Amino acid sequence: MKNLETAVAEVIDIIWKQLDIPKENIQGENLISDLADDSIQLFELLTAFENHYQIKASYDDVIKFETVLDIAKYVQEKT
Amino acid sequence: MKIQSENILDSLSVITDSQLSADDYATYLTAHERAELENKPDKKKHLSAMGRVAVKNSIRRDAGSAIPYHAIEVFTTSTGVPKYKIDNQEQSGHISISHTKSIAIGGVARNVCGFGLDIEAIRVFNENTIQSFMTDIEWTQYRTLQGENKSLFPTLMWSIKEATAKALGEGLRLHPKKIAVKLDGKLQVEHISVRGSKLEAKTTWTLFESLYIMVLIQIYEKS
Repeated sequence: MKNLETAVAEVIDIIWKQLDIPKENIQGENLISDLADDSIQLFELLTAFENHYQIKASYDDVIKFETVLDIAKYVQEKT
Repeated sequence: MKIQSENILDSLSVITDSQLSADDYATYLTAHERAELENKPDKKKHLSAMGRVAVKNSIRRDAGSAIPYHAIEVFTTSTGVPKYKIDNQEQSGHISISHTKSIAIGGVARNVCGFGLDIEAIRVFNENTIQSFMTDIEWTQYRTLQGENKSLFPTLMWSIKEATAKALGEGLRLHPKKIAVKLDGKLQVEHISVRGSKLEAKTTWTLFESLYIMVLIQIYEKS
């Protein structure tokens, strides 16, 4: 199992690549919906998480994540 | 390209960035609404305020009287559905709000089961994204299109799906692939199915300032 710090760093890396937000501006407590400019960006980000972690069957789980930390904890458990 | 003749702009209110400043918030928004704005990130604060004012303009027009802005309070349920109160009484009308870049729209509808609006800036999608939100049939139709229809199709398809998901009160919790949209050769909506069941609905869309697509859907019966 990954440690939480590594998982947070990975998640921040995906957000940075997908949304082009400076890494230093992304914090664990940030709401995912606040980081994306609009619903399309949010959907693209959720899809990027699905693809990166091969959790395609769990869109219903992914959509429930509220914060960066929520995703990192999920990643920590599933990978 | 022909767009639908019905002017959906008659059914909603539009606010642009230049029509509202932060100094105006106290004029149009209640103390509770302004407090909610403070919880939003800076980049979304103003758009959110614009959306509230747009929908209040629609509510005032729907009521047919000059209700004071502060008598109307727009709030969001725990599932993300927008509702409104007039003089602290929750109202039965359905409202919907959407914004993108520097523009916000809001509208109200009665005697429907669901009502959804969406506005999107026309954009270029990468093909992976298109395939991730379109059904196989939609993707096949997209590949047969050419010219302006082809360039509009992905944004239009996304916008119809988002307006539908809002009208159903589900938002992005409903995966866009579970919403199947059948468009004719002129990109007019023939029908929409959700999880395999056809919706009894009326969907209209229009181009706005050649840069945006606006979609309005009224659902009459949910299966």
